[in-house]
Amino acid sequence: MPRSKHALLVPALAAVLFAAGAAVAADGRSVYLRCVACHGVAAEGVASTGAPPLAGLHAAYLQRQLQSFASGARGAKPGDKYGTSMRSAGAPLLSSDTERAAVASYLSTLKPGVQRTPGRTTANGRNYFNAVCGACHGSGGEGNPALGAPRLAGLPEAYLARQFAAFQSGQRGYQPDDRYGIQMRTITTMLPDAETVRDVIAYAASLRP
Amino acid sequence: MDKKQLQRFAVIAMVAIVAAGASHIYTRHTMVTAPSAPAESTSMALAGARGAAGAVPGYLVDPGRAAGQILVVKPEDSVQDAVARAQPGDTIQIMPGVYHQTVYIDKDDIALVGVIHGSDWPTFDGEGKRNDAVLYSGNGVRVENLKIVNYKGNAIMGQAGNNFVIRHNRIANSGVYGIFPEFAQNGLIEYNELTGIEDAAIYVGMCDNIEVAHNEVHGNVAGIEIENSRHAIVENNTAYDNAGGILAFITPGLPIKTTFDVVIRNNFVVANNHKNFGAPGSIVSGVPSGTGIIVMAADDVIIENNFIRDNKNAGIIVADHKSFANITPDPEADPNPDRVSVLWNLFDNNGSDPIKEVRALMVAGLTREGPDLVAVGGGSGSCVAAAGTLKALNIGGWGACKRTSSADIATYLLDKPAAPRALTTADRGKLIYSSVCAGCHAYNVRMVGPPTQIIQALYLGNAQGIADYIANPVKKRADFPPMPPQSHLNADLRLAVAQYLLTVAPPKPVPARP
Repeated sequence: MPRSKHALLVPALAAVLFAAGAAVAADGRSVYLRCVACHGVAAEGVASTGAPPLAGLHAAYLQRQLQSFASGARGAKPGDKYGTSMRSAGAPLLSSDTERAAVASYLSTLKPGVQRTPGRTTANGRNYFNAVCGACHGSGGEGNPALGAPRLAGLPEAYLARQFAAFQSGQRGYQPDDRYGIQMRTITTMLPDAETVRDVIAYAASLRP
Repeated sequence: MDKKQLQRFAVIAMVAIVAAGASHIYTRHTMVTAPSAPAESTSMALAGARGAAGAVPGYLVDPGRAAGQILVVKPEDSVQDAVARAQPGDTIQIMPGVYHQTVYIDKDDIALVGVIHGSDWPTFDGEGKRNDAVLYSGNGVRVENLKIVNYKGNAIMGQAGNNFVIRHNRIANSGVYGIFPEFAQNGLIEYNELTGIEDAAIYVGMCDNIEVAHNEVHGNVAGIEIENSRHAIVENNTAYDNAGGILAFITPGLPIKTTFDVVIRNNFVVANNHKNFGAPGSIVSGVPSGTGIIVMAADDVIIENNFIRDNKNAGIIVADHKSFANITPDPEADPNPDRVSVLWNLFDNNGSDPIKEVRALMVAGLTREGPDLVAVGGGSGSCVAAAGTLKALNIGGWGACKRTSSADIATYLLDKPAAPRALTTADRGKLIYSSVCAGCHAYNVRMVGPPTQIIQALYLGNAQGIADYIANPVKKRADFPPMPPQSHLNADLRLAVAQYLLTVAPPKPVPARP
């Protein structure tokens, strides 16, 4: 783990790295260049790679997810194809907390892309979204950093569906100290059936950021 | 209008004029006599007024109760200190002036009575900072003659206090609910004026035996709402310029699962076309602007002799849970409105600009006329009188009413005060959940605050975390009203209610009736 390696370094070297880290923090954009192959130049997401849009997500959320990929709290379950790619190819591109913070901070300043494929919306989807999801993700799906809830508006329907299924099956939220993940796993049980899940996700995907 | 309708309109107008006059005289009477003999004058006046009308008297105050002391409070004084000194039966007399205070009455038989000199009222001003003006959990509490402005949560909220009287208060811009008795039996709400409330101005929640009369509600999202309550009469009120005028609802996910025996009569329900300014995603934000009266899932509702005019969406909507926005089902609550009786009412110029769901029904019904009465969704046993005199949509399954009037139902108030709710140590958490929390938190839908099931998921069994948070909440959700501090409950009670909240179980499906 990068973090534990740092802990072994002699203090002088640590000071040098700290200075380098500070320089990186000022330039999250150049760090992000390592991610564009999958997530797109404007962090708009690339459907063919399954990589979600990152532009304009909350910095704390992005940083937490990067740390989770690095530590194995996300993406380490067998059968999680996209999680495995992110852990094997993506997470190692960022070697430190400083770099993760820098790139998260940079991405949070980007303007989210406009919804490209407005979903089919139903009253059922709206009602359950407001009854279940809206309490943390906001009635407009805007997310809420105070609750650790990411923005959902403007994310692709396929990505949202995949993440919901991952929480449902335990491919996300499996570590005992992953508080937000465990919360989400509980909450996925509150939608009564698969049709409602589809309706709610279509509604969330139809919201504009 | 034909001649018969004109005659009936004249009768309504006369009743209203007489009622307005009675209100004026009665108010003066109360003001003059309350300081000397408050409790007795009230119960006698109430019984007298009903007796004169030939009705059964309702008793909200035990006639055998001893006369108490009068404690005079001036603006520089603390009303809460007076409550601390007061004994059951006492009257706290509040002199004109401005009070930047919150009062919590946890004793029985206390009257909080304002003194009005000319145009000088005692005014409680929350300055946009305080949550509630008056909270009470005692039984036999009376709150009258107060002006209440600029609170964030409630103007007057009752928490399981039975036998209450809330009368002749003027309430403006004071949060989510104006007058809100929760989980109570036997109470009277009359001669109040309320405006600028973000949810229901008068919200009767999970109550029994309630009278709501002679109030004026305007400029609110909902004017008067009878919700998960039984045996309520809403009469002689004026509801205008709200998004929805008068509502009888079953809201899913609450501890009480039914609403029935509601009489809505002799009200003016006019031009309720205000923009709906309820919090986005909440149930009340689903009330279509322009609706006079809404019955959602409530049973045995009588709507009679109301003057229902100029409501742009519809005069009356009778809907099931499925047809209403932001409602998700509660398997323990019947989603259908059954046995709704729309007796004779005076309708004029409703439905001039209906919402698209109503328009779709108009298309299906081959009419261009917006409705006085529209039914959407399920329900059975409903009826309408004089169907030919109103523009009705989608009431094919409705019959003709056998009942011709509600005159046999004089009052639902009890003929003696209701006993206090039992409060044992074991179930105090449950009582507080029902009488405080459930005012805003339903189990599985968004009323005002986040649903209980979401709170359970977020706190992961940490009752102390909830108890600590509710003592001193911080705002976390931009599109929700702020959670009010519950510091009037002591630490033990806060923990008890938090522990109970974590155990509330999802509603279970009720087996279908054979």
